[in-house]
Amino acid sequence: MALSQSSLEKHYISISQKEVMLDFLDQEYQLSLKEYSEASVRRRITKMLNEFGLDRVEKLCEFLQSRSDGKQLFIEKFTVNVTEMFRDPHFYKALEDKVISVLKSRENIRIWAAGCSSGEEILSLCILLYEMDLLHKCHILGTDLNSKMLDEANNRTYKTRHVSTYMKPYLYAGGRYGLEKYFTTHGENAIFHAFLHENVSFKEHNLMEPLGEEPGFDLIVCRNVLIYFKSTLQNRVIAYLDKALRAGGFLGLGSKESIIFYHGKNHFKEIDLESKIYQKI
Amino acid sequence: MVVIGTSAGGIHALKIILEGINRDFNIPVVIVIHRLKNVKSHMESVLQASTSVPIKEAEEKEKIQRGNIYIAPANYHLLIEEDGSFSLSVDELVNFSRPSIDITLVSASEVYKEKAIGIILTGANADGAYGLQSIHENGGVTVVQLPEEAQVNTMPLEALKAVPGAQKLSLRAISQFLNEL
Repeated sequence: MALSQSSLEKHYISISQKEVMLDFLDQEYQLSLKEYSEASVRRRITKMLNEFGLDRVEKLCEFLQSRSDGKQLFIEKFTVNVTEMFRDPHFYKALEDKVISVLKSRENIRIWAAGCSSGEEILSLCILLYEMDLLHKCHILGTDLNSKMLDEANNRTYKTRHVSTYMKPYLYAGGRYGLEKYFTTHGENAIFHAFLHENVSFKEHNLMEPLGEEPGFDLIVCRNVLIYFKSTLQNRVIAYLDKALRAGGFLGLGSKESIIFYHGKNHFKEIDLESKIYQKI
Repeated sequence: MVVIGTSAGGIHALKIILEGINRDFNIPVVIVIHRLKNVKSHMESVLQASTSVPIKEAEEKEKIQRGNIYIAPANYHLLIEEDGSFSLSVDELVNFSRPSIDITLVSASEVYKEKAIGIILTGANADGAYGLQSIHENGGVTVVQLPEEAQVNTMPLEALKAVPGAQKLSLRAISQFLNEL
């Protein structure tokens, strides 16, 4: 059977074993995943069991306990770090037409990319802002639970074979030049130019807690993060994002995410239905 | 809960199955079909032309309801939560695919156990075989389109290798099978 490339493997965590794991994480690491989507939690832990060659969650708990970096290691393996540049090009097009064009007259533009993973989305934003001649007056904060991913984001270095797949989405998103303008190739790596990150900073942050930064962001981008949470947690996180935005600021979610179940949805008006962009009233 | 997985040749095959199901068919069906990610498709309306049972894209945290046929959205994996709602994921491609048929089948098998039904139709890769095995191991029912009838028989053949005891049915017989559930 051709299962070699499948990530569904021989050891897997049952629904009841998941509870054991969640209690462990809560007690040992004060990491509460009880409000995460269960199916994804089981999938990620199943992946971990197979990667470490362990056949039951109890062994995974022991293994993590035996390591001083257990918590960090768990977070590294648990978080979904699949991201790409210019994912959903229509989102970037809508951002340019309906959001940035409104923000451009401001003296400073503060942007928060929440759950930025390895930084492809932030780079996409930086390129968009650069091409609109606005990058110099933007401050972009990227946050993620996984500090290793933040280091990767900070390095601006990606595999050339991945970057080559971003050329078309960049153009669909309204890119004015060619993506190759923004990086140099070193062997199998594409290193994006440092000037793109001039006004970018990164910070480790768990979205289940308030950000602890000055509120008043002009734009918050949080895409394909909420899908990993149950609705109750989605709503709490959206409430934090809501608080961090200034009145008139914008919120961009993933194309399958929305604020329809958020108790404060009346604070927002929909700016672009397809791209899930909202403006705080 | 029925999960149907297909790839190349899938739209045509699905239309034949849908044309044959009763109007009052009311078991939830989830269709996972491989498709292009950056192209807007009108899969729902194309398939809706073949049946009066409502067809819609599965939405994030939507509660699965009887009498609906759901389609996995392009470029997301579709999982099923323990409370019978959908959840989406953008993690790694599986079998070069997102949505992956394996992922939805495994997820359905864990939640619905012996009440899960997995059906694999025409397609050009092995996605779905592992998931069908998971359905089988959890006591669910497994069905594979007759390989000689499939437009591309790789997927049915791989599924049969994984679950040799799966029922082999023609598309028309699959409609019949669904009507009798």
